[in-house]
Amino acid sequence: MPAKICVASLAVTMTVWASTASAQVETFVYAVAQLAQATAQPSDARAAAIRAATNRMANALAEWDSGIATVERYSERHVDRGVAYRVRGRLADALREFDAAIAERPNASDVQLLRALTLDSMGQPEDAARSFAAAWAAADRSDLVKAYYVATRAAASAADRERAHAQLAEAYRQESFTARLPTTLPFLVLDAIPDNLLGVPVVAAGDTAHAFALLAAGHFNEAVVALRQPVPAAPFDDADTPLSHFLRAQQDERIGEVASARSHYQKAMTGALFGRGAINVAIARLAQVEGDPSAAVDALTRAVRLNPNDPYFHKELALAHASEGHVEGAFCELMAALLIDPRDATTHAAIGQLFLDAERDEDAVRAFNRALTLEPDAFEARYGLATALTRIGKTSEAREQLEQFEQARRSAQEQRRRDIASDVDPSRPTAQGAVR
Amino acid sequence: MRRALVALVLVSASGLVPHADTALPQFVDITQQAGITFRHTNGASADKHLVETMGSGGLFFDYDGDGWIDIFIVDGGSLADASVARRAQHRLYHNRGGATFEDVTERSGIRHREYGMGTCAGDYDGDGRPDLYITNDGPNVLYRNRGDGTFTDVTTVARVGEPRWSASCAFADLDRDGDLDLWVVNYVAADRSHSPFCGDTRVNVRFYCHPLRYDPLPSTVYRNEGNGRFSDVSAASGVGALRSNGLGVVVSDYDNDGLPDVFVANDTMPNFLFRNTGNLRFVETGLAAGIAVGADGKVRAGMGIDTGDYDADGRLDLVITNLDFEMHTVHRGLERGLFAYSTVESGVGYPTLPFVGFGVAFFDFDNDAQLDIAIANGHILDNAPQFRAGSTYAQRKLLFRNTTMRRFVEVGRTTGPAFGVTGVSRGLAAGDIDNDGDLDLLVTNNGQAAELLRNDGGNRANSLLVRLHGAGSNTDAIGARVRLVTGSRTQIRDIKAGTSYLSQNDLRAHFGLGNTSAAERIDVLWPSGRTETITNVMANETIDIEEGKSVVAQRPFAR
Repeated sequence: MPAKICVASLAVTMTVWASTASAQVETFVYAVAQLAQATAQPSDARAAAIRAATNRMANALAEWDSGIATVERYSERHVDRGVAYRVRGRLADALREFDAAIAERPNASDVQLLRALTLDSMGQPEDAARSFAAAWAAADRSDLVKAYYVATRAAASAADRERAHAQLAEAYRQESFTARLPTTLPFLVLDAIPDNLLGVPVVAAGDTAHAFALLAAGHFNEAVVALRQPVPAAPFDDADTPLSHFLRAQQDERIGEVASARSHYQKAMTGALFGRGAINVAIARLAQVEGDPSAAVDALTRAVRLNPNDPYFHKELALAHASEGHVEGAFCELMAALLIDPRDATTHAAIGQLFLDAERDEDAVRAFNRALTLEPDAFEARYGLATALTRIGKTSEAREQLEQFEQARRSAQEQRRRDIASDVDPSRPTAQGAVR
Repeated sequence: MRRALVALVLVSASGLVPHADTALPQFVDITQQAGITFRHTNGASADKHLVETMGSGGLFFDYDGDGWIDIFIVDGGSLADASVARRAQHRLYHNRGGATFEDVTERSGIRHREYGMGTCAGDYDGDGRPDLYITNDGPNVLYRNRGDGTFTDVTTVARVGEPRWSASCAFADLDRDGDLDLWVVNYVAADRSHSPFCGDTRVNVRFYCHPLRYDPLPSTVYRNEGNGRFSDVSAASGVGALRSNGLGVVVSDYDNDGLPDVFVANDTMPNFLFRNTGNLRFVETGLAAGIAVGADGKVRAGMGIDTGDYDADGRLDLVITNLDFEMHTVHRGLERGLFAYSTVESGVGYPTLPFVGFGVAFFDFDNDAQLDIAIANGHILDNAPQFRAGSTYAQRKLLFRNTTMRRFVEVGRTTGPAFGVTGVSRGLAAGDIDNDGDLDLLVTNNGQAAELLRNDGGNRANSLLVRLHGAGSNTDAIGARVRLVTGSRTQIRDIKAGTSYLSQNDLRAHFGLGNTSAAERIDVLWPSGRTETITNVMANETIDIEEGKSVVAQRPFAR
């Protein structure tokens, strides 16, 4: 399973990297995936499977480091070296190389972005914000990705954020970016192990918890060492492993113990190797039910950072911002979703709803119309458009939209009525009747 | 990834969290000590008749005019077992001065006849005494209050025995002719002798059928002819042609044109807003007004409903309770009779996600001059957890405290153990049972005991209770609007006979005043169209205002 290293917006070329090192990263990530699968093996085969995966990881790391050595030997480009170090998890080395590259070319926007993302990973949000701002300042006006980074960084200056937001808003108004589908994913991902690699969360049992945490943090060698440690003689407390917390969280969700479920998901995160974005969504939803919307925003922000090219997470974060009344924050996330897929009608409809809620009815009309152009059967957008038209006093147009909406809704309702009637036939029993 | 997420985000009603925040008023369950012994008969059977899970309601009304609100609770019955049905009994409880109630059902003459659902009270004959209407799955019943503690069944003479399955009802002077008309919301056409099978025979599981399995019914509109009789004007009014799975109703003049309009909460169909165009004719305008469906254009399972101006902008807002995973909805009134979907904005959305809501009331529980919201919850399916991960049958009640006029915070878990107790709740009514200046709650539960929750500490802040007496035959001034001004803040209350879910609140208008010791001005817009203004009214008393005669009585709160 290949790791996606998304460098679409980079003008820099990384020929050496692409030809050799990325293949070595793929080999390593594949070994990590095998490790994840090994931990789910039956107990008699589990230890051997983990050992085998660990060995493959160690071998892959050796090859990877050899590849990096090649980069060091043959490439004089600081950017190539910086990227190699960053993906390998050598953040300080990466930062040194990016700094050197910037010293040579202070206006290199893409290198500033690499530097900013590295600083972000190092937990230096203020420095990262300055670098994001520098990247954005040096970028082409059409570079909305960098505008997004600045607009969504709390550590950025208020003036920068405001201007970045204005740029995104203007771009949406002009619609220029929706003309063609992007050929590559817009957001740069520098972590070797993709969060969504296996499609479901993978959480460590007691004996792998430390190693999983190290892998998630990019400390790959240390993870291999940890995996080769003998299992401690003292038994793990089964109730306090990340996996047991994860399972308990799911169980608590089923029986409605919201606070407990949230707490257990948070504890499970310490040993989550894959699917941390998904677990953060669960934490966010539970926080929302508990009436803690700011915690929901925090969790979804983490999910977005882990999965920047998945529009689902951006849209969830947008909803969370909107529920807090943060219209600009919500808009930026919806714009991010559009940068990934500009032809997603539901995102345009969500922007329409956001404008409607903010009583920007004219803007809402424009967004809903875009959604309907892309998907004429989207009755959610049809209803939103009718609502917006009503509010701005275009009553005859609104009536026309409402009639179309109502026609579609009635048709769907009658179909549902027929489906339910057929479901209750004892000769074709299903459980659908229970679900409204 | 998406599938995994769906599994992860299913959540359900949280259980009891007993710790209390003493800064907020506390609700204390005084059901037993107050002498309320009612326990609902739902007649739950293997046949799974839908009605078994839908009721029942209750109300506050001062049937004997002694100044202390009494309680009436509707019992269900059984469609499957006649012996169970015979045990069902509506209950009338006389308030003996705020602390205890006496069961006076036997001598009241009120009898259980059909499977009971909801109730509303209004003085239909203008004799100064509130009469009682009971909705049933079967013919409804009107009891005339004789003024001596007894009631007479006048259904046949009054011609209001709607025979279909009715849910909520409301008295209102819909044609503004001075007497009270009657609006009855009907639910679905379900065969009482046979319940269709819904379930899975492979695993021998049966559950209550989805309401779309049945044919919807229109509301029934009765015009009061002024001679003790009503006429069914459903067809002529324009209402009879519109069928829906109606459950909740509230009557309020949302467009301030002086004519009472009618909101109907519909189950899995668009909600209705019947705009009153005069002469007992209505135009359904829910979709255009923005209250029919959610912001996503999808219908919700509307159950309970109430109106109130929670953001104090002079325009009515709306709350509707729905099914779990739908969110209970809040619609904020805009200009020109439009509503914004403010469910999430208001803070009510996400915290209600795990709950199946029924009874609901805008009320100011902490007397801070901002309308809060109480919601009674409980699932429809007794075996819900088998079908819906995250669903629970019994659920706790919710209390949303208005914090910023636009935003609510759920504080139910910090307002006393009574709010944390789970139940299969249905009806909810608010009223000041002990005349101490804060609002108490009556909650009815399906197949369980009713709950009377006394508000302790709400009256740490000041308040006023305003009792209106209309000059004509609408003696309780139902449909009047009371506007109270303190400083820059204006609060409005409508006098409504029938609201929430199958229930009705105390008819007195309650105003929290916070630290303010007097209301600068009270304006009463009477149903007759007359306006009356009273100035400088001291806090912490009940005042009686008689149409054309200003304040006719003032009593300090009992504390």
